[in-house]
Amino acid sequence: MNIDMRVNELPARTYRWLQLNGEDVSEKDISFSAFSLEAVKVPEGVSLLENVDADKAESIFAPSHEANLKADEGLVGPNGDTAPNHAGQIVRTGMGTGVDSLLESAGVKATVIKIAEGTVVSEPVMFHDHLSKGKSTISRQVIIVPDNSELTVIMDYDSDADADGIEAVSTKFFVGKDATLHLVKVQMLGQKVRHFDDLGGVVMEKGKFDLVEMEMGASKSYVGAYVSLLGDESQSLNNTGFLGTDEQFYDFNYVAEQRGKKTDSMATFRGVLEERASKNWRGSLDFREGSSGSVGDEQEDTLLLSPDVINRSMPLILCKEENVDGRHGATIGQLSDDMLFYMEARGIDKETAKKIMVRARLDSVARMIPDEDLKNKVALFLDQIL
Amino acid sequence: MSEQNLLQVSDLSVSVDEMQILHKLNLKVNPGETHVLMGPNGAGKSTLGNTLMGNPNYVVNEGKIIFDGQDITNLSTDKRAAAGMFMSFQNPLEVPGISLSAFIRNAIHSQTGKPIKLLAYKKLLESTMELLNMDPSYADRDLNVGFSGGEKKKAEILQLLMLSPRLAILDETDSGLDVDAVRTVSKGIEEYQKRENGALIIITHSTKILESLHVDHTHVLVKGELVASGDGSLVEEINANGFERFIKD
Repeated sequence: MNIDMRVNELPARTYRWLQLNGEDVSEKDISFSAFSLEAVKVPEGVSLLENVDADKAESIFAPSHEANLKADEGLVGPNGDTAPNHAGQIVRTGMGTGVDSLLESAGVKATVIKIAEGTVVSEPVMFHDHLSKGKSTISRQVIIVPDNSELTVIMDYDSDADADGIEAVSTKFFVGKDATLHLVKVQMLGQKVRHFDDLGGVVMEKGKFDLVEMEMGASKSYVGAYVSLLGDESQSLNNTGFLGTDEQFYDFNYVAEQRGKKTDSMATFRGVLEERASKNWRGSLDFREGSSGSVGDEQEDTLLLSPDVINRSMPLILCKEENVDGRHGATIGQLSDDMLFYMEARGIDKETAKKIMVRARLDSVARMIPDEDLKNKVALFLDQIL
Repeated sequence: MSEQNLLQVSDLSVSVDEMQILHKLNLKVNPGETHVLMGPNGAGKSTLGNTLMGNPNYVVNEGKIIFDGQDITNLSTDKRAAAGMFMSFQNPLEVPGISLSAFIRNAIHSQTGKPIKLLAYKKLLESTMELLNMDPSYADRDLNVGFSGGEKKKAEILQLLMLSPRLAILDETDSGLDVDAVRTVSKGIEEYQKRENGALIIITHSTKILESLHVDHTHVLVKGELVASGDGSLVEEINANGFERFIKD
């Protein structure tokens, strides 16, 4: 099949002059040969339902979708249901409708990961995919963490060094009242793979969504996350790390839609670009009517280690409520002379200092991975690249 | 003295952003000696420290720096450190993502090129932190991130003791510290003197840190020139009378 889709659109098209409101993806003659991730660890208390029809798997989102439609009645783009990136989506995702259409075209069924209400599962559920040369994979997961429960889900993707296909992953999540979902995604694909990672979900009253994400491989990565904080006092915490080397390209789109009262969204993006790597990053805080007392903060910290890298950052704050506090900040820069001097004064040469700083940035995210084996795997992957 | 000078600075003139700061400065430091460099604000004390350590922002226009018999005037900073020089920073930098322990381990490995025995390293680090009244949890915290001013300075002295240089330049290590922290830092410096027979150049404009240290030589720097040198008693005189007489002269 051919893939032609527009992904990662901003909630409001404010960067038309830079042609960066979204990104076009075009792939020819793609044949998907695998339609799910391998579940390598499913702890007791977790039910895993495979080959579930998408409509059935996503029915959990219907009530909140109905409520959102009602709240947005009469509201046209950029935030209404007419927003082209989300038109018809029962749950909004970062990459948008294009991925849903791709999943439909490829006939992908969902894997539903679920625990019982009031259950805390301390061991993580672990998924893995290894992409072989000449193969492409597409999968969809729906994670349901009902009221008063807590779950950790880890997904990691790697590949043969010469793999040249597509690794496409769609993940949707529901976090109930007073529930917590810790989601960890680690991408260590080979340098010829194209990666799509589409994420979206809702968080109910006093629920918490905690995302740790590392993007380190693939030639082109399109990564989007859309978190709807629907319930009062719901929270979203996002820590993303990325490494761009050679000619790698990243297109990121993160949206925190804050509808409930006193919601809290905190996102930190920390990464490094070197050689001829390029990156687009869109980060939006969308304070909806009724979100009074909410706070949102998004911080980007990107280290540029070559004059040939291209780094584009598009922070956006949308606001329909007065009593909210939205902040964004960006630290984009090279390794400072002061930092280099400090390291050299300890006997560390320039090249090693650079490597230490790159590792330090990624390690600050990697240490949040709640699995030692995966942490070690990340360390080995970085050893090979750096 | 038959022993070779550890450091010999001859006719050193230095500029920053094309403004000359140091003028034909001469200084000799022997192994194990403690030199104190004092002077009013803007005298060029930190400039000397940075120049000795090879900070590229400081340009040597004239003169030579000989360390352990080797001309290091044009040597890179990392090679000076590997040769046995150390500088504690007035404002230590924060490095998110690398722990204090890992940073010191990296530095030791960079300087020696040898593998580090982890257990022995851990024990030495713990005992040295104890000496400096540092909570052991700081070893695993990101370097200087969220450290108080006092903890940052202690972390610098910890690095001094762990790296065991032959010459340490301490740039305003006592600035901004409370009495207890000054005492602890001073204890760490004393330990360095004893343990390593280490030579010191202590840059300061206060005398609190010197109270428990034996000082061999005191130098007064004014407007980029060494205007007076003496023994430890010069510290007491400055403490009592300030720099006025040196500035007038």
